[in-house]
Amino acid sequence: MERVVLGDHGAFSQLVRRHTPRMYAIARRIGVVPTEAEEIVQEAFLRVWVNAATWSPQKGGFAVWLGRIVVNLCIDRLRRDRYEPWGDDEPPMPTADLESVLFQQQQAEQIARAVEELPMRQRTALVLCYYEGFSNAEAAGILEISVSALEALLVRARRSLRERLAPLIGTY
Amino acid sequence: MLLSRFKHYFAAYGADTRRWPKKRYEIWRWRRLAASSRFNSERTEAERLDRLLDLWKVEAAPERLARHICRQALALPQRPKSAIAARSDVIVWPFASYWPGIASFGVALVMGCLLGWYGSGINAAPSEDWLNTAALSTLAGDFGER
Repeated sequence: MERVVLGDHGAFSQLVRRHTPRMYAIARRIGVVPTEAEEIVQEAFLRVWVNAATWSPQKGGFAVWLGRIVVNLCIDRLRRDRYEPWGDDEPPMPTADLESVLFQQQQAEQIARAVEELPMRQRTALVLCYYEGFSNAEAAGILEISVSALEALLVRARRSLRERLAPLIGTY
Repeated sequence: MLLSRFKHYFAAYGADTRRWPKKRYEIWRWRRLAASSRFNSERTEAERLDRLLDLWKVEAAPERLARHICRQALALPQRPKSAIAARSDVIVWPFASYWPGIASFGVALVMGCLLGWYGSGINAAPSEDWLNTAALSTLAGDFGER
């Protein structure tokens, strides 16, 4: 990042390649549709490049800084326009055994819907810690809360999911 | 570590200790503890939910996205540090997140002092003189006094 601050194109490209998949996944799991998730990731990196001089390691590392930008952009986008994220633009799953694939897809959609119904902060905490592998300190930094507050969000999120997915949990 | 704290980790981070807070020595201890039978119910419950959550996959970011981002961003000029430096007339408070707590504590302290200073008479018993006067005034009619 220090090289990016000095205007190093190669260093920026490297950062983009390294962090794009994770940031895209965060946006998608928070509930943004694919095309908008791409726009959000792009917007976040544009801000990083243009405002690179504002970065400092004291802000909790590059991933935390970028994650905070992406999460805030997602929240803004979701507040601005509510939409139905389970449209026809979902990518088709590979079809080895159609019946079991459809069954799995249905279950995955149920889980995704249950996650989507969580309050925004609980959902974001779960996505960051469980799905995207951020440490508790990093996730707390992205959400700008304390680690204990993050843990409370995670506990509530998992408790809600357990209640909502109770019929499915019985089958596992 | 308190057992309740350990159960709290199951409830927050799930059954896979790799997702738990990373302190190497403690992880080693936790892994040994996590496998012990005293946490069977918490572990089983967390594992069931983990298995379900793992079913939800999202598609990978398109290959072209990173290239597109680089092309778009690198065409833009970077803002120099001097342009984004904090304006001298803006006061930046240090430790911003602590100030609401400090302010609340200060207000509570002032309220407590005020209550202690002026509130001492709130629950005090009424003076005996006042009680005697009130009692005599009701009896005054019986003795023909007006």
